Amino acid sequence: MTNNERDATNACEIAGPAANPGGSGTKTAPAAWRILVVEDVPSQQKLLVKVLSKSGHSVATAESGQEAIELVEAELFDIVLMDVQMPGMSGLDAIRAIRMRELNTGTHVAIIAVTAHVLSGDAEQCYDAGADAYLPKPINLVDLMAVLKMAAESHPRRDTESS
Amino acid sequence: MTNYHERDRHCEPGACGGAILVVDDRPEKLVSLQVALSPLGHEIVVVGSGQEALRSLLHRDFAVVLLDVNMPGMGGFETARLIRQRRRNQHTPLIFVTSYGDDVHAIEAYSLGAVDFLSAPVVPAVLRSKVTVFLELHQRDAQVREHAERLMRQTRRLQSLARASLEIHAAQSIEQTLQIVADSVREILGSQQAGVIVTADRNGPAQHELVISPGGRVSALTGSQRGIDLPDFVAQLARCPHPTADELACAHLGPFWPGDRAATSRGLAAPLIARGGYTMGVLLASGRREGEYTPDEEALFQQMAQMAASSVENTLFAEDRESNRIKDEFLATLSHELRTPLSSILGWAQLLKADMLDADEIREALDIIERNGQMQCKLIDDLLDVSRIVTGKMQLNMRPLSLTAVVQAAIKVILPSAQAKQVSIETSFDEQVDRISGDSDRLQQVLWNLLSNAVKFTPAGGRIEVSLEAAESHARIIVRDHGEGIKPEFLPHVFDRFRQADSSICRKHGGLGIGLAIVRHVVELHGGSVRAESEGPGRGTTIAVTLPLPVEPFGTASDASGASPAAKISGLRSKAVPWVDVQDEVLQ
Repeated sequence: MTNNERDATNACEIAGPAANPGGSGTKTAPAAWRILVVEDVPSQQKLLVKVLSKSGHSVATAESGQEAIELVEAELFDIVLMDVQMPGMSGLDAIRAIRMRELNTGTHVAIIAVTAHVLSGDAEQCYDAGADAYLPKPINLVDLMAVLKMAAESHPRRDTESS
Repeated sequence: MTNYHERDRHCEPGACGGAILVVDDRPEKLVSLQVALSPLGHEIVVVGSGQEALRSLLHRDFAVVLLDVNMPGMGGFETARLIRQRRRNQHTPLIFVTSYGDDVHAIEAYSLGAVDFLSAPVVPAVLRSKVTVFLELHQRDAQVREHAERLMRQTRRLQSLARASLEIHAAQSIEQTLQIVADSVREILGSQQAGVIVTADRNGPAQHELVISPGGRVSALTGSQRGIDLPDFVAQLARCPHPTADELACAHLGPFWPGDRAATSRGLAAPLIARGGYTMGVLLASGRREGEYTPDEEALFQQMAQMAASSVENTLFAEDRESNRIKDEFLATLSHELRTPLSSILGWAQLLKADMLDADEIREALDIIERNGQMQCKLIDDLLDVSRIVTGKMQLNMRPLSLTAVVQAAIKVILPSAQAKQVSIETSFDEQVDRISGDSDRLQQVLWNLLSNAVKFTPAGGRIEVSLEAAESHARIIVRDHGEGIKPEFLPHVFDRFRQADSSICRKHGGLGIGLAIVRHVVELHGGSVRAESEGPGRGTTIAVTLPLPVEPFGTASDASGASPAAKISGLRSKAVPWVDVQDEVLQ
């Protein structure tokens, strides 16, 4: 594969259904998801919002773990992208809190933890807290799309009567 | 009547126990009673009246008092009543001796607290056996009291030991631990002087700490510098637990341990033994001025030495653990701080390549990439600086410079981020202290770090004050903000490497926490000092950098202030330029 061909494939993979309505030459087009991006660093947040909305998904943002918990309680999301290193409540604590509340509601939103740590045991920490998947920083956008797909498909959003 | 004291030749005063007081107005009775009692071998005091008896009792205690009932003036019963009034004599055994034998007298006698009643004629053997009972009781009493006092003393010492143990446990540093130990030894054992030497083998040359009481910490001794072979001395003392005053005040410790020349007893020395079994120090106590140390006290001393040893070891261990924890935290923060900008750079680059952005978004993306690239640069520069500090390889490029210019240059760099938060910067420059010799880039870095922190920790709309003023033979640059402030517990550590006030997860602002460490190092390389002050969270922070001025008047003849050279030389302080809002200056 030449560089140009590789770039084109990546572009398609990142762009998703919005850029390739015909679906030709791409993998199975995923549905448009409702995604919550939890990230306090502005340029990072903007980046994720840009990528995800360009890919046709509907994106909400939160700047802190606390905000994330409130938003998840208020509405249903398909996926939550949770940065782990945040000021105030850490991302892992927010994940734990969300999972606790889900014990009552019976729902389970797909959560992907994003972390800059590379110490061994870091991935386990994320899974132990209740994350379904884990992405290291710097985020590779192609990997991001793949993980999103996997997470959303293994934990599809279920509409509950009470919403 | 005269008092007549008789002492048995074989009886040392006090050694045979109590004395007997015999009270009778008739001399012949006194003599016969004395004769009857002398085989007992105790001291016998005879008096001829109730008053004299009372007087004798004022001066000393008696094991038993023999009272004649029938005396002219103050009779036996009345004397007894008066004796009993004295608190001290409420339980002194009183034996009445009388010619009458009727029960009435007996009842009255007992009601006055008599322990026995002898009627004449007194049978000497009976008298002796009755008196003996009370003499023995008295002796046993005295023994019990002495024993109780000994136990009390021991209890007090153990209480002091327990208290000292708690204090040692709460000590924050090795120096504090040693001071508490030395002070406690002095307090508990009553020595004039106590001291602890600890050879702490850290990563580096062995350091010897000597702490004395009274006196405090002697600056850390390094054996070779002072011509002392401390380990040898410590080992020697450890082998000899009872050093004399001279040995303790020996030339080894010289002026640090003057010793107690007035001490008459030998001193004490006990080794501090580390867990590995090696001697890590020695606990010393000078001799006392009165009496030798008892075995109990020596045992206590040994215990204190052990306590000191384990406490010092624990502190060292805790310090190592803490130091490791800080380094771990630093690495975690470092990882995050390096990867986050990279994530932005790579992410936006990927978006650019995927051709997903419109013209505005492209511009934004490139902006973000550039900004994050620069942040990365700064981070790496800081890390390299830290590396230079640690290896001692930071070099300054010393040139004549203008402090005002350096401060203004730093302000110019920070202005955009200050303006982004609507934080205003006010300045005041005393031009008399403008010219020094220094590394202009490094000093600018220092100022930038301080200003960057001030802006970072000031809420939007706040203000920062920067001033350059004279302080005796130094120039002082002060950066003051009214923002977050510093917690008092953290204040002493604010310039430490790798330290941030909050641990990684809870921090509100990014950064590695090495900026201030670099500030301190650079300032100290210039021969200056830096100080931080804060009244607490929410009360703002003031950082003052003090730099020495050159000894000779420095710089060219033309001065910005226009002050005459004469004024400068005579040391007149010029008026400081009033507060000026810097935005105006910069925009001109």
